Amino acid sequence: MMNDTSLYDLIIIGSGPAGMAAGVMADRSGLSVVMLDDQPEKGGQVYRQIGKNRHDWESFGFLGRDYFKGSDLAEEVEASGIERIHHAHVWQVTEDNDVFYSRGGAASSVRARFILMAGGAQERPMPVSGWTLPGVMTVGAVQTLLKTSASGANDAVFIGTGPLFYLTIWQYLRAGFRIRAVLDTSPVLPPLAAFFWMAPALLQGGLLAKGWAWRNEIRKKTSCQIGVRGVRLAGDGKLEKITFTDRYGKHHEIEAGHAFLHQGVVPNVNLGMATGLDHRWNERQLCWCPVTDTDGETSQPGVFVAGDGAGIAGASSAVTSGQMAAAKIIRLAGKTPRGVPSFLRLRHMVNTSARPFLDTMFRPPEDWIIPREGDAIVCRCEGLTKDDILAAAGMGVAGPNQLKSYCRAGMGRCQARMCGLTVQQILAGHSGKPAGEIEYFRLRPPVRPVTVGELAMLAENDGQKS
Amino acid sequence: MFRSISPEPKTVTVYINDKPFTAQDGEMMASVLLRENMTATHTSPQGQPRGPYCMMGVCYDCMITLEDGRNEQACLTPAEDGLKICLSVDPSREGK
Repeated sequence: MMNDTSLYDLIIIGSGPAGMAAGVMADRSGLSVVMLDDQPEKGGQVYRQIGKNRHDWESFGFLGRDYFKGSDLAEEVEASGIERIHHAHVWQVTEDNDVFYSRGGAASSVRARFILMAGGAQERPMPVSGWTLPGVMTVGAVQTLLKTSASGANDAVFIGTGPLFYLTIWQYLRAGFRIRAVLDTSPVLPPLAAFFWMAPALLQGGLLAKGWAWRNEIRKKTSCQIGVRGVRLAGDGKLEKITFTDRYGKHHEIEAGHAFLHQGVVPNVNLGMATGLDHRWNERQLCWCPVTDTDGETSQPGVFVAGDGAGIAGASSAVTSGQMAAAKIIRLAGKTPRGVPSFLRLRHMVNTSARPFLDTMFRPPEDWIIPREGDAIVCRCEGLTKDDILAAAGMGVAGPNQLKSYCRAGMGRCQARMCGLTVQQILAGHSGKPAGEIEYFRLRPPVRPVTVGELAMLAENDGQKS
Repeated sequence: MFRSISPEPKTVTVYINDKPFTAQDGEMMASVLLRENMTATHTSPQGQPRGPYCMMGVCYDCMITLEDGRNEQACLTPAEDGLKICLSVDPSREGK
């Protein structure tokens, strides 16, 4: 139960835009805040390594101005009284608001009256044939390498669609890396529904104009194909060859050592689901989202979710959603929120206005969610293919949880992060039910692998405390 | 093959399967491995080579072994001077 012996008022899990914005406001309003993050530095994925890079425009300027928008928040966090614990891998949140985490091979726990999960997003699985070959990575991974060490690979092939896809290619060009080809998987004609959502999206017209400019520049400066289908990645022990069909049905083959895949991002739901928070299927974003009130409070009182972890909406709305969550937490803690931007809710509305358009425009077609080929791996950890999943489905497996006892899908190290959505869609397709009616893998703590040795140290630490 | 365009000097020495390599201080080990063209770090249950994929700690395909025997994700392990890691695949297979 929540009690007055709490060590902190607020634990924030994740230090991306949502976590940083919430932390700064809570700290200013007099709450004691601890921030746990599994990366070496604040910033999350979008502002990865911003604390260091903002002093080095010369080396990292190619990332563009939007990346450096994270500088102000980073500065505010540095100037605040927030206690930050990096390299901290949270693996359990209990109903008593105890948060367990591991750091450098030792486990510890902290407790607070309020918890804000700001764990952000991960890339949607893109299970094409051969996606497990060394040399194949996600576009997000490649952007991370740009942000952390200004590293890139020449002559790579980018395959996919979505805002992050175009942004990263644009950054690659600015950094001076040669690109072999861009295989754009979005349909040649945008879906009609996208035009309907165009009107509210105009509130974020600047963002749309930027995306449009990136796309045009990519088409001008790279060998770019749109409407690409049937991609296969092949090679002996590493990627060597990419085959695909173009919009006219013509077959192509490219030799390449690197392919970068991307088809959008989805909330990181593992911690929230393992905590037992209610989730619902989001049909527009084709993913699970935690159920929250407008300020991000979940089905477990005192536990909040903000940012992309609550539903994909981007960096600017992560800031406003973090601020809305913080404002409610501060009031519940009996204090007056300070530093609340005026018209916060209105701002948040504007910051999310282009989302339905982007969701519709870049919605992955079904043959990119479920692999075409039966031999394509779905569950990377256990090395299980689409045919393996279908074989179990043919034996009458109703959902992902029953599937585990047939073939271990989703039971590897990544705990279904890389296969959960694909398995769900395959089983939905097989049973003829909508995806939202297929339950998700039942996730349990610890949400990342923990050794018995780490747990033993936890007992020792507890012994010292009491 | 990955290369860095950053002028930041590589000041630390790390050991991969006992061979020394230079790295930027605090750079993720997965980034060092990719630059040295070691794109595979371990094998799947079926024996297929796997390597860094997501670079943010969610895919668990960049597993490496630290000196104390712990298995860690290379994308979450910063390079420190003298760090020794071990790959469970033969890196000489790479780049052929």
